[in-house]
Amino acid sequence: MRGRTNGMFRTKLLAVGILALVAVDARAADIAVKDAWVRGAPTGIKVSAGYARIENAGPVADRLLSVSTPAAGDASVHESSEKEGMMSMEPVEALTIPPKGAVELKPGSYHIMLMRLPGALAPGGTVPMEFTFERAGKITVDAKIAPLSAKEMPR
Amino acid sequence: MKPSNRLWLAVACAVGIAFPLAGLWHELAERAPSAGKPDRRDFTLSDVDGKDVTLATFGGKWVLLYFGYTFCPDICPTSLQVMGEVADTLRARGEAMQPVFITVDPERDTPQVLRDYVSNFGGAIVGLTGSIEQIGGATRRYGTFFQKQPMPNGSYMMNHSSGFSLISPKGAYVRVFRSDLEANELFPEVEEAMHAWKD
Ligand SMILES: [Cu+2]
Repeated sequence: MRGRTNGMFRTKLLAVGILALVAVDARAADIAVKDAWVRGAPTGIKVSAGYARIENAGPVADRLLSVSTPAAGDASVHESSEKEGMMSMEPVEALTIPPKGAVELKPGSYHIMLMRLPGALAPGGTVPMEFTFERAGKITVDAKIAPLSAKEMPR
Repeated sequence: MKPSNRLWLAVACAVGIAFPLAGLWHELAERAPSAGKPDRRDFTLSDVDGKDVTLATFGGKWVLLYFGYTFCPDICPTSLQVMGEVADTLRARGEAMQPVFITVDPERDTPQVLRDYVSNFGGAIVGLTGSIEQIGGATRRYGTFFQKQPMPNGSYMMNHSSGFSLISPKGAYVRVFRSDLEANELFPEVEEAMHAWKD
């Protein structure tokens, strides 16, 4: 009797362990960062913006906590908005990616504010960008450098 | 209260009200012209070569004016691109149109920075800067507001109201357009306003 209980307990533990592993795996695979691009920055312009489409295929929400890139001394999530005719940008603490959903970072809306650029960003190249999510962890993608005047990702 | 004190209070109140009101009337007078009288909103600013620029500098051309700053990586580049595209389209149709970008951040937007920046857009945009007073005067005349917003990292942004102002070849203010339009949306609006205008 006692042995049997122990055995069942172990089986349950094992099952929980496998479930947990599956869950962790699924989390990382659930988030995808697609079509990442940044605006080019000519010499003398120390600021740029990065954009991407973040998709969440999983059943739970995730949150984008931070972004880092060697192309900027300072990277943070911002949202542009217009209130009573005033255009402004506000830092976003953490950007929620809804389950079975997506968030588009695009001009005039959410963007990665890139400040203190160490050098010019020449269109045509790429820069690595590391996105850190609360659940999915770190995802690194190569962002295409578009002309300063671009409105969308270069094709 | 002694009568003399009451008199002083009345004077103080009258002055306190009259001064701001005078400012308001002045602004309204600048914003809303009486019928038939052209609404002139001139300014003196500097181009990227340090030369003085007034509206007369662009005499004979239509002007499309946008206030912004280069430390604005998200919205301003799109607006400049749209303004440049509209100017190029109009030029291709034989209309003389000069797009002008006035910085509200002269501290960071030196003539050199402005020159490099505007050269990244089409339309041969002219970049203008000036002293805080000169820029403040120009923004007030066009009903534009701007305000420094400090950031936690010690840097700052400039919150600003946004729009494209159209000025006639004789230097009269025509109207303002929303700056969140695409070039193919802004173009017909500007063209219509130009054709309806009599200088
Ligand atoms: Cu921003």
